[in-house]
This record gives sequence, structure tokens and C-alpha cells, in this order.
Amino acid sequence: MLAYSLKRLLLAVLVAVTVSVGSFALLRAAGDPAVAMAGHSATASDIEFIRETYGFNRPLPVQYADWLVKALQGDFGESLYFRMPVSRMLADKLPTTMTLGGLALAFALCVGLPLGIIAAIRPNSWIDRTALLISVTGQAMPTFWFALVLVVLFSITFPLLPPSGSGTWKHFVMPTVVLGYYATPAIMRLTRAGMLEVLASDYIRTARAKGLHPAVVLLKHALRNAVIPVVSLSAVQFGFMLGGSVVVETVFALHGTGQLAWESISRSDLPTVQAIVLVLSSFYVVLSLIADLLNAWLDPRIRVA
Amino acid sequence: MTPILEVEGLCVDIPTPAGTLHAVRDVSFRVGKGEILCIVGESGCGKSLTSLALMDLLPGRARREARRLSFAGTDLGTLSQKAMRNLRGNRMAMIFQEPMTSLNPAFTIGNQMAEALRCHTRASAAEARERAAELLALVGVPAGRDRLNQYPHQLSGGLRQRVMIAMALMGSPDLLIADEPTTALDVTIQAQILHLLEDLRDRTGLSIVLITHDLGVVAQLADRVVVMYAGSVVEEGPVDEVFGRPAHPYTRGLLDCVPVPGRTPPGSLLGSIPGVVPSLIGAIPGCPFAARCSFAADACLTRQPPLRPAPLQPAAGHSFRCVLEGSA
Repeated sequence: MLAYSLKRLLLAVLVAVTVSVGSFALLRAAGDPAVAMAGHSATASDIEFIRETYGFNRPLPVQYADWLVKALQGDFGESLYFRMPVSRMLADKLPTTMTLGGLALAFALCVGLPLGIIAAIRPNSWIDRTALLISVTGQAMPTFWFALVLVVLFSITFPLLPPSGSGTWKHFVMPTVVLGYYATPAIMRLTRAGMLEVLASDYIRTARAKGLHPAVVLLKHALRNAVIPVVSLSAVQFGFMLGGSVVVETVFALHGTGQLAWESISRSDLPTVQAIVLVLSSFYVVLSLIADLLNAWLDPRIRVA
Repeated sequence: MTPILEVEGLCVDIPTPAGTLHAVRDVSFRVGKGEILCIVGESGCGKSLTSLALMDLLPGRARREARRLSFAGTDLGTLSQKAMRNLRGNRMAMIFQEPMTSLNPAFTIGNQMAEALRCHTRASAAEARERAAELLALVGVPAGRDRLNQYPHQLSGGLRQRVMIAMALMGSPDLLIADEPTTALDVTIQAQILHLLEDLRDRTGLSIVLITHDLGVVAQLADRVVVMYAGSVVEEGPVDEVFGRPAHPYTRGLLDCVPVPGRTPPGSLLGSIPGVVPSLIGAIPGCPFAARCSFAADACLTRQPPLRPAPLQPAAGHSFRCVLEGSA
């Protein structure tokens, strides 16, 4: 297990380095940073001054190393639009996005896992059909539309929940449901497929032949094996939610990284975009690592590989 | 010998789109204490479903019916699910054909063995582990105590089947049902496992129902043998009687298919039984073997005769199901 963990960790570091090169190259490929920083009305000598001041005239590898060392210390430079440190902006927005992503994933797991399990125990029953209906709806319904329907229902018709903002837990209920519902179908279908396959396996028959309680057979022997692909999927889903919750954040006016990323792209605020890409992809790498380690813990055969 | 298991009129039906499949048809047999009963027959004759029906482990839609299904005086037919669970894996245990896939890959051997005891008794984790280690030694797993922390994928097929047997013994069962336990193993390992089963019977007085299609296994191990064909018992009796003086044409056909060292002349053709097993969907009007039987008469096509004592030694408990006089 230790050897496997170290191997995975090394791999994760390599991926993270690749990602950092990518996000550094992104800024340079988008154009001359000195021109972007100087603005429209700048003269050639202004641009040259900025190039000197920020060291854009140095060789690229040196600039990359300099940027990476600073980024590792939490210094992502200054936003071109707000003229404030990107790190402070991120510290402001990240908690909201992380909370939303975490809650949405928890929602998706809480709905998707039990429904998938029940659907697998009684395939083609009414509950299986209902679960299928829920998952097809979840996949087909546009997020922004579902969000607006919820707002109409629970903020206007029945004024129970605030329609926007991020002050209290109440603000997170509808965004969580919308974002979580979008992730539910895949988790449910994968759980169902995994459970169906595992429940037909020989070791489940052995477990029943031992006289174990059906709940033990189901939750210990079957679920542990069926849930392995769901773990990997959840990590991917969580990563996706961190970066892809723009629509939900915009509809509910939650000031998270999704919204910041979208606005920064439209303002060509390259240092901010670069920092968000780097931070979110690093989270993604960490999540994949956690999923891999969790799977190795669940299935001893993976540890050997 | 007092019977530990009495089966009378066991039927297993499986509904299919084409009609009801009668996989096991009115099967009756008894297993005495410390006896090894072999149920033999070709693939699809209902022998595995018979064994699963005894354990109440039939797959999904299969339905079990029996006039009498008695284990150590307990009527299994009327038992609640919970009471059946208490017997299963405890006083009656089962091992399966596929040792490679019959153990859960995610848990250690020790964990899986211990739970077999702990779900039936108040044994502590340490006690269960201790018993698991003892049993692994009993079934001949080398370095058994270290194996408790190993996972199934770290063990060979033969070792896994030994672990399965040890696991089945955790509750000190009176009856072990073994469904083709050696089919998936190498020949040398097969012999070891069979020897182990016999040894366990001799040492612990365990009764064994062994399901197999291998007549060599039957001859080596069985006290009594039940020959099944198309869901029905066609012949039953002490193994020496049935193999020495087979009364049913199907049993004779089966025995002709197996070479016997010293008796089968080198280069001679082995027997084979022409034709195929009839469909088990719906009723079979006459003897199910009639279409493949070289002795079949007109009566065989309309009437299935009852099991009756074999004429040569009626007292031996040897019976068969054929209109012929059963002269081998």
C-alpha cells in the first residue's frame, strides 16, 4: 500500500508540474503580457518600461521558474482589472465554490447511491423505472432553467429560500440541489450497473450461503466492490463542479471562482484566469490522487498494480 | 443409519417466456449421518439446482416445492427466512464449483472466515480468528495463521478451495453440500481436495452431499449415489451396487463412457450416448430418456415408470426407474 501510494503521489506531482507549464504557457500564448498590462492608450516606451519592470524581457524558462516559485508561495501576481493580488481574490471566492461543490457532491451521493442500490436490487421494478426517469430528467434538463424554476417555486410562489447571495446556509440550498441533481444520474447509473454485476457474482452467493443477514451481504460484500468506479467518478464530478459551476453561481449570484473565472475571461484578466486554472487543476490532481488511494484501500488487488 | 437430510418430492420450477421450466422433477433421497451421497448426472440435469434448493439459495425466479424437506428433524419447507439463515452456514454449509471467484476479493481470508462464525454465535473476534487458524490447519493450508491476513488474489485455486472448505466448517456443520468442488481444479489438486473431504467425514462424522459429473469421483468417495437425468432421479443406491450392477440404461450408458484401467482394452472405442437431453419446459409424457435409449419400447414414450427396487438385490436399497427388468 505504501509503495503504491508513493507511486501515485509521484505521478500526481508530475501531472501538477505539467499543468503549471500549461497554465503558464496559456498566458504567453494569449499575447504579449506587457501590451495587455499597459492598456490601449500606452505608448511604445510605456510598454518597454513595463516589460523591464516585470521582467518580461527575460528568457521564458527563467520567467516560468520565477512565476512557479511565487505561485507556490501563494503569490499569483496582481489582477489587471482590480489592481489587487489575485491570491486575495481567490481566498475570498474559493470557500464559496468549495462549499457549493462539496454540498452538491454530498447531495448527489446521498441521492444517487441509495437509488442505484435499490434499482439494482429490484431491476425493472417501478422504483427502478422511477430512478431511470429521475436520471434522464436530470441529464436532459438545462441547469439554468431548473435553477430558475426553483427560484420561482421557492422564492416567489412559496417564499422559503433567498433567491440569491451567499450569506447563510439557506442561500446554498437551491444551488446545491441544482448542481447536485446534475451530477446525480451518472452516480446512480454507475452504482446500479456495478451492483447488478456484483450481486450476480459467486462471492455474493458464498456470503448468502454463510447465513449472513441480507443487509450485510448488500452493504458489506456487494457495495464495497460496486462502489469503486463510483469513487473515481465522484472525484471527476467534484473537480468539474469546482470549475464548471459558472451557470449556477451566476443564476444565484454566489460569488465563487466560477463566476470570477467567467468574468476574468471576458475582461482578459490573464493573471487571474491563470491562477484559477492552476489552483483548480491542482485540486483536480489532488482529488484524483485521493480517489486512487481510496480505491486501493477498497480493493486490495489495485495495490499490487 | 439415521438420516440427517430427507428429501421427498423436491421440484424446482423456473418460469420462462416459453413456459415453465421444470428443472428438478419430484426428486427424493436421504442422507445418513456421516454418509457421503453423490448426485451425478450430465450438465443441466438439475443436480446443482437441487443442491441450491436445499440451501434455499435458488436464483431469483426459481421456485421450490417439496412434499418433505427435513434436516435433522427440522422441516425446511416451513422455516422462516431468519430461521433458515440461522441454519445456513451454521449447521448446513455449502461450497461451490468456482474457488477463484467464490471469495470476496475486497476482504481478507480471516475477515471472511470470522464472519461465518460471528454471524451465528457470540464468538469474539479473537476467538473466531483462532478457530479460523485451527481450521486452516485442519484442511491443510500451510502457514494458515499468516494466510488470515492475506487476500484471495494472493492464493492459488487449490488453496482457495481449501479456504472455502475451512470457512464452511466454521459453524461445525452436520451437513456439507459440495457443488462440483473439484471441477475447476488441476487433477492433482482434485485428488487432494477429495481426499480432504473424505478425511473430514471420517474425523468429524460430517455428512456430505457431493454434486459431480465425474463418475471417477463418485466411485472413489460415495457411499450412495443418485443418478439424475433431465431433472428426475433415474437410479439410486449404494455405489457398489449401482456401479457394479447398473439397472437403468442411462446409468449403463454413462459408465460405458468412462475408461477403466485394466478393463477397457487399449484402442477400443469408448461408449457415447446418442441424441440430446429433452427440453425441460412443460411436461415430458413418457420416460425422458426414451428418445436416446436403445431398449425403448412403445410403453416408454407414454408412461414414466415409478422408482422401484432393483431385482437383483432388493434389500440393498438400490432402486431404478425403468420398465425393463434391469439386467445389466
